[in-house]
Amino acid sequence: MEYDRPLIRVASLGLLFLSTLVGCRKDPEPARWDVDVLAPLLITRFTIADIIPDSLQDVASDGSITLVYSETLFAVDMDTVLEIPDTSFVYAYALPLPGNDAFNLPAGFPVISENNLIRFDLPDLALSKLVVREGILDLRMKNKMGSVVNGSFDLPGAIFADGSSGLEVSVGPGTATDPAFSSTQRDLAQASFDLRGPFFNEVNTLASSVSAQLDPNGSGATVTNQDSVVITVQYRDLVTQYAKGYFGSRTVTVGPETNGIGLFDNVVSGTLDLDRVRLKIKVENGIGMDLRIRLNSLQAVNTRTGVTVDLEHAILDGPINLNRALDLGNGFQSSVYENDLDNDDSNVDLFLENMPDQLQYSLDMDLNPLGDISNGNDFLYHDSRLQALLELEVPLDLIATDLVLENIVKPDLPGNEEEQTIQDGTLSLFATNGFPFSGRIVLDIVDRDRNFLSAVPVQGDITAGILGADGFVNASTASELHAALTAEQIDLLYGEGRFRVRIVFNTSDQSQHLRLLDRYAMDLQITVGARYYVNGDE
Amino acid sequence: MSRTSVFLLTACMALNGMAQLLPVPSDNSVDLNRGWGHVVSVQGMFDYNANSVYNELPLAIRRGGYLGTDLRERSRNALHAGRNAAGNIIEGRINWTGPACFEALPGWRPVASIAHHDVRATRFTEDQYTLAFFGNAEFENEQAILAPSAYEEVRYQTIGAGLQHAASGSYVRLDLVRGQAYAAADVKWASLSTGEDGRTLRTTFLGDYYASDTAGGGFDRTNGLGIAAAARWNTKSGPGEHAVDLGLALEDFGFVVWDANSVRIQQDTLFTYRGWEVENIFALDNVNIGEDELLDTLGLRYETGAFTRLLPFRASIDASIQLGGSWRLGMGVEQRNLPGFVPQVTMMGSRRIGTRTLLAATASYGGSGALRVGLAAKRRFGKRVLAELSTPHVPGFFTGRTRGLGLTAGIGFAF
Repeated sequence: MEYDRPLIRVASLGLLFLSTLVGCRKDPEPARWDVDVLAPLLITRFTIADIIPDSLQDVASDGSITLVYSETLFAVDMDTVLEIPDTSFVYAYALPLPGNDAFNLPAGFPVISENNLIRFDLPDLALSKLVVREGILDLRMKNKMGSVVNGSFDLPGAIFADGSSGLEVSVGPGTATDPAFSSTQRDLAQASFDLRGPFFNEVNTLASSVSAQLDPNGSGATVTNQDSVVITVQYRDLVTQYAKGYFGSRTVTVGPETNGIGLFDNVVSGTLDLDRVRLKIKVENGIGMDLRIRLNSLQAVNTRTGVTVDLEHAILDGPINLNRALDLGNGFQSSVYENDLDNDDSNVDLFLENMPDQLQYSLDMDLNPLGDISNGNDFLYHDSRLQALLELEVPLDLIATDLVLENIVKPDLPGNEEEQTIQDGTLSLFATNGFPFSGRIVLDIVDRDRNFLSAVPVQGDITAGILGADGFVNASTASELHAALTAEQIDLLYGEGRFRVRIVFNTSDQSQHLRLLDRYAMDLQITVGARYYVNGDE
Repeated sequence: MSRTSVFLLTACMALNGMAQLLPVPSDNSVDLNRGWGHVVSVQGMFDYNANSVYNELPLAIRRGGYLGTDLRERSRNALHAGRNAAGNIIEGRINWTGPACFEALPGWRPVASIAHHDVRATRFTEDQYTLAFFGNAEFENEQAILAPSAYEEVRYQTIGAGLQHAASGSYVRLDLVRGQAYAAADVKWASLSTGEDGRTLRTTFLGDYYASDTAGGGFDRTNGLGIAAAARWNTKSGPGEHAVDLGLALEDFGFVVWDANSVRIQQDTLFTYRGWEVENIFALDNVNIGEDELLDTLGLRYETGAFTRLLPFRASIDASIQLGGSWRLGMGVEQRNLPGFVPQVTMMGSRRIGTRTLLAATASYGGSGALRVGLAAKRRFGKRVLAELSTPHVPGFFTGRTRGLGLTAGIGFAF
């Protein structure tokens, strides 16, 4: 018995041993543990350029900053004055034969030969010349005759870009029940039209010559009263490069219209008291006709606060007369009207202190208010437009009271909602402030729609830089702020939550305007002390 | 390879004296008769060792789930101010010994062997452990010392052939090495200083990192090739019954050339971090702290290119003496080419029980660990089968508050 089935005994022992090692264990989850992390998150230097781009700043030699902001109030494009509709003309030929009579036409027989005047439907306009920037001339032929028909379309008053003035098309033989079709197209870019007609004494009129004949090399055709040849000419998608004539005398009403203004996008609430504001309204007329504009209203609308401020200035009381632009032959020189508004002659400071996010305006525009005093020499180029610009100049000499700037930040936390690696922690902000204003930070957690979810208490304020006797900051101050985040708040941030950071600014002297200098800066550093879960906490 | 499959592989493969520090002594009555023409043996070994961290920590990591503070704290309290080391070795081998067939070398038998090796070892500082398991917060206003430290992980397979002296058991074998994966870091100097309130992190680093192709290190990948030699010389010294059996052994003494897709980073740098520099505090959503930006900032871009590295070879010397009757006493010293590994001394006492069983007890000190107490046994089943089972540290099976855990098993079949 000593040597009975030794292999089986060894194998049994082996299996028993294996079972103690692995059992029926499932794949294990990863090991997790928490570590206390203390690290800097980000560092930045806050300057005026962070809220006012360099391109909008004018820095004087003494370092004082003036906000220079330009915004188009309105622009009236060419199509308000001149719009050429798509226009079609049809030329048809049919033999007036009775009953079932038939008639033999020889080869080369001219079935159409017409000289016409094309009149464009341009109400209020009397154009004598038109240069096309873009456009298409379609020529389509339908033939029910049993012969090839050759057609041609000529515009004696036009010169196409290639120097020609017509186009030709040929259509194969057709029948009354199965007509033949043919079409051709011409790009009208740079085509010039003399719209004075054949005797140069009309307007909006273009002479044309249409002809069609049976193929001279064919065998002619037998036609009945069912047979016909139809030529359709269509001008479409015309865009004017240059137009000349009389543009009519009428009134165009613009608005009320609203333009967005992004100057105060980050400002949520508070008041801003500006020492000086200068607003230049600049109107440019690039159209070769006289204009008279009545600015009915110009409003600064703050949709966040619901407050609207009407601009009050003499410019709103009387019309603005604009001379016609000057035709330079290959371009134009706009006429310009300018009017400067400031605190003394208007309420422009209140207008701006409303911190508008919208500008609303309405105006009436009289075209040729004195009639056709140019004797049909109004003109416009493709780029001609009437536009009004607002040029704002605001020296940053201000009093800010509880001025709140807001920013929404979705923190990019390590891990994900299911495997959160941060459990709780403290954010610390270290500020070295060289601005003459203090800052209080309000930190909230909001959802995607900015609905409030939770408040994160912030301990400490950013103290203002120390003012010298000259009203300028002569020493920076250091501040330390701390915000503790609970586990529940971290949960929110791993989900839909995001930080809403509001900074409440107050200038350190509320009794006088303080001038901001371009050297002012605030160094900021944010650090985090957090419990970090390696491999997540779930 | 999953942890479960590693464990299965380890458990399925029996062990042989070739891979052990101190082979269970040969005994003519217990061992397989040398007259058998062929002997096929399957061998396997798993050996984890550490000189400071308690077993309960790596076992808890393997189990997964939350590692409690007490658990981590106990191992931290056991750390040494100087060298802390840990390592594990997983090896499996199939060995064939054939009949003597060389006319020119009578008494020498052919041997062939296929083996898999998975070796990891690390040397780390007390502060590294604290940083990894407790974070840097407690180093506020202090400097964490992160060097000297090193890490090496290498997986490779060998296939080779050689000769074994039938009478003494001495052998020599030449192996072809297939490199599967390699990663090694050698940090000569590194520190992390955490400023007050975490406002500054300052690191210094002098070291390098080498790794095989990062596209993968699975069993299906060959990322390097090399050669290695293995040899053991057994001899007797002294007269008669009390002669001392001496053995010198060298295993996996060779190298692997890791291919051109291998990567390396060599750094000698000082880096101060005060936070990600943001241009505009009101445009934080535009801040992109992606992997690329981070790698650029820290200068951790790989360079690629081939390199050659020695295998984690093992050199050992052992001696044993018959004490009379069935008792035997042995001693061995082993050194491995691994970070944190110091010469390991092992004492062994063995006793034959009957004619088919031999039991041994071991005590060892050094290597990647400290003092370990083990047991070993081999038993012959019938005439053809010999099984061996041993562990270098018995307490490892009973408590987590000890260091080291291992198991060797093997089975040989003669025909």
